[in-house]
Amino acid sequence: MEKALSNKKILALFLLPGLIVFLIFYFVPILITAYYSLQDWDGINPMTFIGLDNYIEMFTVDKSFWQAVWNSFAFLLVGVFIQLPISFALAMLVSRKMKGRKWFRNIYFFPVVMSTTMVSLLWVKIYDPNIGMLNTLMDAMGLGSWTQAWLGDTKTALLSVLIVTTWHYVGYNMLILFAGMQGIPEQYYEAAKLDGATGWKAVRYITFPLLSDVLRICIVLNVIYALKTFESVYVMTNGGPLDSTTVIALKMFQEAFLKQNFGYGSALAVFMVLECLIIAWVINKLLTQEKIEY
Amino acid sequence: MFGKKFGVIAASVALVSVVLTSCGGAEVNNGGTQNKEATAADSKKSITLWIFDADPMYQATAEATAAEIGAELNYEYIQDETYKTKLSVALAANELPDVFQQHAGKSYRTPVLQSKTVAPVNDTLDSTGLGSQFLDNQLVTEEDGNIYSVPSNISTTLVLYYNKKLMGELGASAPTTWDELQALIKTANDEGVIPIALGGKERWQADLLYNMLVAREDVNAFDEAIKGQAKFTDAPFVDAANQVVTLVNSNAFQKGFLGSAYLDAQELFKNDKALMWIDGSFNFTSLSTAMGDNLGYIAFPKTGAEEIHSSTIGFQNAEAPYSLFVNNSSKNVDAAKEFAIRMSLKLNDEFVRKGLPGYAKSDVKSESQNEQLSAYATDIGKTTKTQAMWFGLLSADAGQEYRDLTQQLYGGVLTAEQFTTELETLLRKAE
Repeated sequence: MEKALSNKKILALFLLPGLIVFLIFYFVPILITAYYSLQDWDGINPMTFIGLDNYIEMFTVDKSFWQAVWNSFAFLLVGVFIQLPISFALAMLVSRKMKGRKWFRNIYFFPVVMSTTMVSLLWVKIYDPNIGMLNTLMDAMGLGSWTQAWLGDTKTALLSVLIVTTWHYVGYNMLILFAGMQGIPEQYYEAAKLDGATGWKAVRYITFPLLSDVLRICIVLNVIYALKTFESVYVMTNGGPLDSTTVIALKMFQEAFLKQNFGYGSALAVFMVLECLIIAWVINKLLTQEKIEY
Repeated sequence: MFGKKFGVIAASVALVSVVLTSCGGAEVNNGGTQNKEATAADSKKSITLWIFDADPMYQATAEATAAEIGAELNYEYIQDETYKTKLSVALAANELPDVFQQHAGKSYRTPVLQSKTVAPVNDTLDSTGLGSQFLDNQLVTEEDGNIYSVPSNISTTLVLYYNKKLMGELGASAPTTWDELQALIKTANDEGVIPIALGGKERWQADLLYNMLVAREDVNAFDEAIKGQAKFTDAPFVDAANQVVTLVNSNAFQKGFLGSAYLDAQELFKNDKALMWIDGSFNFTSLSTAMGDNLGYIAFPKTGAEEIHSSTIGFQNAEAPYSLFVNNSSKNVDAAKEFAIRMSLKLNDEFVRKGLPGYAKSDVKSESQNEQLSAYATDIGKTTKTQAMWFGLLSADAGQEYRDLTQQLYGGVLTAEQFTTELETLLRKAE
């Protein structure tokens, strides 16, 4: 058996079915989507080859495209620079030996278990400016002047959606980071303590370096999730008001299935795939470093 | 280079599976599952039906029709907004049910016909003799001489509903003119009541209100402009756009209405939070059920030069009515055709029973209805011209862009003049 497994040809043979399935159901559709992105096609009638016209329109004519790109990056930035630090802080807290830490861990993780649609609908009700809990609470606390049409105002809609996605997924990153922290041997902290490294210093010189792989995974996952955001925006605002919350994935859906511009929708899909690949690659390159051994 | 079906499925894998993790993907799969179920129950004629109309009358009628022809019915109601997406995907992927309902309007009907996935029903209309039951011009004959659909609804129009309880508490009466409407909006705002609930998120309700305001200025304005005999920058369009601006600036709609979903806005009206609700007459039954005698109806006020009975906005035109289509790939295509035709006639009986003008002959007698529906039946009988909603006369992409533009007017991004200038450019291009 061991001999068979050391034979590269046999290994390749075992991997072949999986590779074929991957190519057929993932790689080939992407290639075909790229082909459609060069067509003027409504999904029903014969297509017409238009070269790069869809891309030219996307980059130079379509005003809401750049708004969607910016909004997608807003999700990315919040995911990496707000959500992840919060997750890290929570992971630190729940990894401490304190009473009820399991309970807190479950509480913070609970939103992740709920479907995005359900969470979004829940927050739509909370944000409702006329009957929603948030404005009602503010009124009751004497903060009536702070009440807003949270999802109905271009100034607050994106921020409101970002708060929801942060709340929803903060527990997911927390759990991954918590698991990573559990893998750091306790004696490192004890040795560091003898050298006077406690508190923030221990985090800086022990936790961060030994958690770097986990952090990189979290960052890449957050970036990919942020760039693919769809459901929460679709349910909460449908990209509005006035495109203030639109994202690339939603725009792609609207172009392909509502406006029946399959060609243009495909061009947006190709952009999204390339954007995800390039950013994930850059992040991997930037964050890859030699593994630290103590 | 690639087959159409393969292409659509492949594109859907890339587009839908990445994005629609719960919505579209599940929807397409549902259709597939149903088709499999249909195959399994092939020995007994099985018919899958998709309906977007929430009125329980549709399910009751479908069940009665299925029983009549001895078929097993798989009835699926899909919420209106979801339905539009689901059907669009199903059309492109040729994953349609045996029979399906489609919205009125060119933007919805044309893709169905162009997809070549629907069966002509002429043969069944002739062989069953049921074709003669339909009134003149109620069955749409397409350019190839075939009839591909049967009606599924009468021509519904845009009306103004009001909450009688709130109106009584304000000591006011339903507005009949632009001035009265404005005065009522002020009174409601002063008393902390939302004057008009509006679901701006889906855009269509706001779009139809603008259509109505233009029609009240000049009912022929759109028809003339779209034919190039007038411009979208002419007075009726600008005046109506200014009225929209006035309504927005006078806080006629609830706070954050641009982000409110249609159903959420409707809840404000049903739950005594909003005084008025502008919607289609197709909602009489569901609103009456929810609100009982608290529901008030009035024809939309006279806001321009046109009289209320000489102009209104309808949800369909003669060429593109609400319809039932039959999937030409159905395992039981003949049964499906007969089912669609008989269901259409049964629905007609229900409309006639409610005192509304039907689209086919009927032996059913009109039964006494609630006061509001009777008033509507009288009003619709007096209406001399109905302008089809613009969206229904435009292609899908032009229609969507037009609705985006309208939202910019409501959002205060464009002035009335800027809006109509962009409207002229957009619709001239669409023409």
